[in-house]
Amino acid sequence: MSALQPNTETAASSGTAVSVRGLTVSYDGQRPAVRAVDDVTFDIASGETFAVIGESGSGKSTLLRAIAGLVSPSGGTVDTQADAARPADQGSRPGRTQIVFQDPDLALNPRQPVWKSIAEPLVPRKLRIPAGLRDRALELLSQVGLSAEVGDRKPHELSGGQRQRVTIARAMAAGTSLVLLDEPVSAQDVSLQASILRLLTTFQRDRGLTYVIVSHDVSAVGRLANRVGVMYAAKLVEVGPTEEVLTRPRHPYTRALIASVPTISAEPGSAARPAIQGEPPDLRNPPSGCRFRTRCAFAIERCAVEEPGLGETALHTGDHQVACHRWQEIPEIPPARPRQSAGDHAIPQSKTGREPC
Amino acid sequence: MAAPLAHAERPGPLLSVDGLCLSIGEATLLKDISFTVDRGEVVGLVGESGSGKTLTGLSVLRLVPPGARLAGRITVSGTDLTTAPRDVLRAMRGGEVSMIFQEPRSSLNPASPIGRQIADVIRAHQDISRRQAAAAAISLLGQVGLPSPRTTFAAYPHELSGGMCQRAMIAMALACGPSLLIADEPTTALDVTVQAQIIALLRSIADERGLAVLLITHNLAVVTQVCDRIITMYCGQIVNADSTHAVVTAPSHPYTWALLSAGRPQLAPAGFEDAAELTGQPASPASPPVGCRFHPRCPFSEPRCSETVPELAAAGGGLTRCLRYPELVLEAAGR
Repeated sequence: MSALQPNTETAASSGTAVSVRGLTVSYDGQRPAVRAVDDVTFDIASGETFAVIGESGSGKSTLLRAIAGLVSPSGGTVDTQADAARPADQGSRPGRTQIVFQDPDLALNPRQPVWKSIAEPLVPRKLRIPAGLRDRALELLSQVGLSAEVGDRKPHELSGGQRQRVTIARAMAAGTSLVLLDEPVSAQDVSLQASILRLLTTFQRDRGLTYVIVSHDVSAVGRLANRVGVMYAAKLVEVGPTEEVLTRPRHPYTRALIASVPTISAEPGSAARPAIQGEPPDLRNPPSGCRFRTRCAFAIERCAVEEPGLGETALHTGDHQVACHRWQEIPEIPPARPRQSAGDHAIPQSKTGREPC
Repeated sequence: MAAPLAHAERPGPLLSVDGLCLSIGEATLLKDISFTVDRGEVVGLVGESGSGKTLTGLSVLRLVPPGARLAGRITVSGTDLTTAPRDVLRAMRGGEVSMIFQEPRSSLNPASPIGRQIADVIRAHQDISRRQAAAAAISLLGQVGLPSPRTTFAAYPHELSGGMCQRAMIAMALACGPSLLIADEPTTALDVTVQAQIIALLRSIADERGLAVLLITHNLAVVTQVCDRIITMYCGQIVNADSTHAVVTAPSHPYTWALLSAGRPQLAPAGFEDAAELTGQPASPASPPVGCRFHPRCPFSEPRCSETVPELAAAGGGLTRCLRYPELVLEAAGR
């Protein structure tokens, strides 16, 4: 466990790294406007790894961009420890926050040797690259396990795994305490995933970093995060300690999401029944009440009328919150091997979506 | 020279690959690949990036890079594709054999409605009217589980989600009633919820139509859920082939065993010490290690593994390429 635990000392001494209050981000270019993040509230402690999971289009990447200051909130606030004194809508926060983008192929300048990309956060705008910067960049490269010789290559001469390491080195270059990671290990081989996750863990331990990770890969997140937030259709529907949320999920959506993670099974054909049917709703016209009700097997009339709030339904553990009217009625999934067989624990299939348990 | 076929005793497999070698310049990227796929069977081809699994899939359709040299025999329903003239090959592609790829959106023409693209495929292979082809396309879109086939028929790719695009790609692949579908990482770019739906769809298509499916993926969990047999590739070679049940309960090759251990989802922070995992980088088939190609990363390697080249030999009901197979007991990872 040790390597993955947050630096509790740092967390205790410096408190909250990110505080998100009623954050709403809407894209007005769309008609009608799309709220990609809708009234989301949570805190991230210093030195912690907070993961946001959810399907494509759930708003998790927009949330990350809002924390980075790359998009302006249309409502609510984002306060990071580093800029608590400044208003949240003041644009980007150079030097305060670093972000590792999803696709390392697109995140690096194809015409520059990679050491220059790494050095970029260190160079004040429109100035010439100071002497000694190359050495600093190469030192960062060695910290991510790449040789100095790699630094002089262009991105296309590197493998996918090497490029991802370069983007991580760049994020670490400016010495920020808050690092945002957008799908850091999606679409990579398992062996490569493990080495990237290990690298991130080492940096966090050595530097007391706070990570915010966005991913649709539930199992990769399980290895790294201390706390997990689950997003569905622009809303945060469940949040809590990783182990609580992933092994005892209470929101019907979280349960379906986890049941969908393929597991190694000795019986072919176990894929016969997907845990969840259909697609997430169109955010231009979201369902009334609970947004998951259209796909939820436990939905009742109340779910269509009244929107369940997060936080009003704090569980006994206090830290584990779920936005569902019926979480207390839905039988808890046994903690041991919750998604061993999707058929056993998944939400029962119901054509009408109105059948209570 | 060719390794024994896994299911040679069954008469007339649908797809038979025998002694396939592929080289570009000096580099041999595929070495002596032999396997078969029967009708109605879903076979998984797994391995890390660079293991040659995608090249193997592409070789079946002879969609190999320019300058590549192919050797060996590939037959589909008795037709030898390695020597087939261009027009026969053209009729086979999209007809008898079709293929779907990882990123559905980039496989579709962004400037043409989905339905028209499917109808075009049908009309390229069958002499039917535009109207008949459109009706067939709408029917196919319904069969792959798209909720409103008529709306989807007129939709452009950017109007659909990734999962819907992949369903449309599957509809297109099924358009001419193929007997073999090659699916190259069909769910890698999709969300887990949609992935579960797509693999269930592939399985039901195989069962209902007797379609043979070659599923190429790096995700072993997906493969174990849907495939009857699993073929593991490493560094341009087949290193292991067996039934899914045997692979999961008693893997006969250390590489398959390591992939299984590393591929097990973890839902709680468990520390890397606990996780058996694959260290190091995959070897390059252009300059393979001497002896067993997996030995530099193998936790069970012995001095002889770096000297003697292991053959693909019978192991239980399957095949394995491991010198230590007779003595090695690989714990079924985590079960």
